[in-house]
Amino acid sequence: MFEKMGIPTAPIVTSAFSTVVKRVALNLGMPNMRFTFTPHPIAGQTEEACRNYVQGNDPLTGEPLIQESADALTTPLTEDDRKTGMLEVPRERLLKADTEANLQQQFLDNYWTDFMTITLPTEDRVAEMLKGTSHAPDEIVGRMQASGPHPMYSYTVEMVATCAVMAGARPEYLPVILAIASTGATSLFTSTTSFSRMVVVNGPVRQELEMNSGIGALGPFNYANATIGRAWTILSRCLSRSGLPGQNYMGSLGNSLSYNNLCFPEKEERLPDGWKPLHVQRGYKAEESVVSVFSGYGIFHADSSFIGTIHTQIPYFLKFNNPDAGAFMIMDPTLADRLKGEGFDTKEQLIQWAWENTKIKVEDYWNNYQLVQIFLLPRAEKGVEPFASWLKLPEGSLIPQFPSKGMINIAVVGGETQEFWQLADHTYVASASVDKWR
Amino acid sequence: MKSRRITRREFLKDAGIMAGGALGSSLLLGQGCSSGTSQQDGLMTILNPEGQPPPILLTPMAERLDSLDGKNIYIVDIHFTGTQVFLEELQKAVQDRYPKANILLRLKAGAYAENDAALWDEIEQNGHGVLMGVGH
Repeated sequence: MFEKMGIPTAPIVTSAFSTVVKRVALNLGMPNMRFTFTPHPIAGQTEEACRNYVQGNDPLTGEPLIQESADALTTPLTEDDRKTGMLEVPRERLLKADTEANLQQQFLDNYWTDFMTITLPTEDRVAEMLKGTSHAPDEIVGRMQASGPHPMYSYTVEMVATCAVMAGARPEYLPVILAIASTGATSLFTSTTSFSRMVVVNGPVRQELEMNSGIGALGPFNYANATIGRAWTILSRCLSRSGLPGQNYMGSLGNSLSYNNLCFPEKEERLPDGWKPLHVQRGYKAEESVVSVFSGYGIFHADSSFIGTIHTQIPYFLKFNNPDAGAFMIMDPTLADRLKGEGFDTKEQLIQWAWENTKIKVEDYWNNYQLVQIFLLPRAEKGVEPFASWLKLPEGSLIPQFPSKGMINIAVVGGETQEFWQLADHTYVASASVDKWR
Repeated sequence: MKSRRITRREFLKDAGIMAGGALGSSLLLGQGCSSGTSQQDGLMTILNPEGQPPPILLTPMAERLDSLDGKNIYIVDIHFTGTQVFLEELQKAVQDRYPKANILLRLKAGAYAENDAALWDEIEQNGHGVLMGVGH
């Protein structure tokens, strides 16, 4: 940005991000941007350690850090540094013909898989997959990027169908996969934390595809659940080139949920009277088929005591979630029935109650969560409400765990073998019509 | 505006995204691709699974300074939690090294990815150079 203002700039970056920032610089049109690298990490280091880093050398170039930074501002530009113009990045529709074994290896080498065997997308297979939609193969479905600084790739129906073949999906699943792709949400989001995604399917398509909303709905027990969820990761990796470790995927631990992205259909037929399906809560008609995608980190078993009421136990578990994430209650129909019996006639009533009754001490809020410190504390200091007001409260004050009730969601699914629920920390990202892609 | 094409090999190499094993292979995209039938002569022809990357608009960098002497050099703290100590040390060290420069440390408002229009205006008006850091 400053370079475009005519002000020379020397970005200083920790060494763990050296490849990422070079790639970002290329995509921003300044491939020769002059970075200086420090040891990693910087955050939380002592004054003495920081002083040593500053007085030391760039760990990648071996040059003195201060000198290198100053040189970045003063060394005259080269001819390459002044280049203008548009670089077109070519894309061929077909790969060079090769043996099946070599092609499988090529897909592995290029990070075009989830590192499980894929079905190679021959023209015949992709043509068969395309029978699952009435849309033209060259129609643009959407655009997707690994995250903000990374390039925004575009993709067609045929490209999505190619990924659907690779994931082992059937042609009739294609409209669901196209709908997921149309949200533009990658399932492999860049972050040093390790995100996961969730996709909830609603409407008649659940039954048309014989998706499993019963026993083991969130596990490896159904072909449609499995391959639709898998397709999201494969299309994210291929169509937007997300999920390249060290390049545009920096998740320290990674997340095994990314293999399937928590793909499940809501068990709408067993919702208690008055409880709306998730897509209807989002403004769609009940007879529409819709995918809704969510972003978070993990999922854990939230126990339910046989003693007392269930709803009073909910805040106990919600408080374990990060306030900058959210809360997604995935509950068996029998538990939903119980909550209905405890007086919650709608999902919205339960969400309201849970939001109002999940409180946190203000000092715990500001002191104990890295995400709050990184993202919300600067907002508070900038005057953004309600964070600015919360920052002024005395210690011991209780504030909502989640800034808004919109960060709490509920889906009902399961085989009714146990009044069981699990708590995810996923928040809503987007919904998309499946019917549009039939 | 002039437009030129770069090879896929150049792009992937520059971007650092080509897996090591594939860099030296003949399996890169765009090399003699045919539209042949699958399984012909034991070989398979399959579709490229990648999406279409956007074109890259090359942007010239700003002209450099003749020296730091007499210049306002801003150190912009992007506001990543826990990195302030490093940037304070950086300011001291750069000022010591370049005593005739005016080294100004500024904390950007908002989270690290957010804009701070007021600070950007200040730097545009008064700044001659920027050292920007640092995350993690």
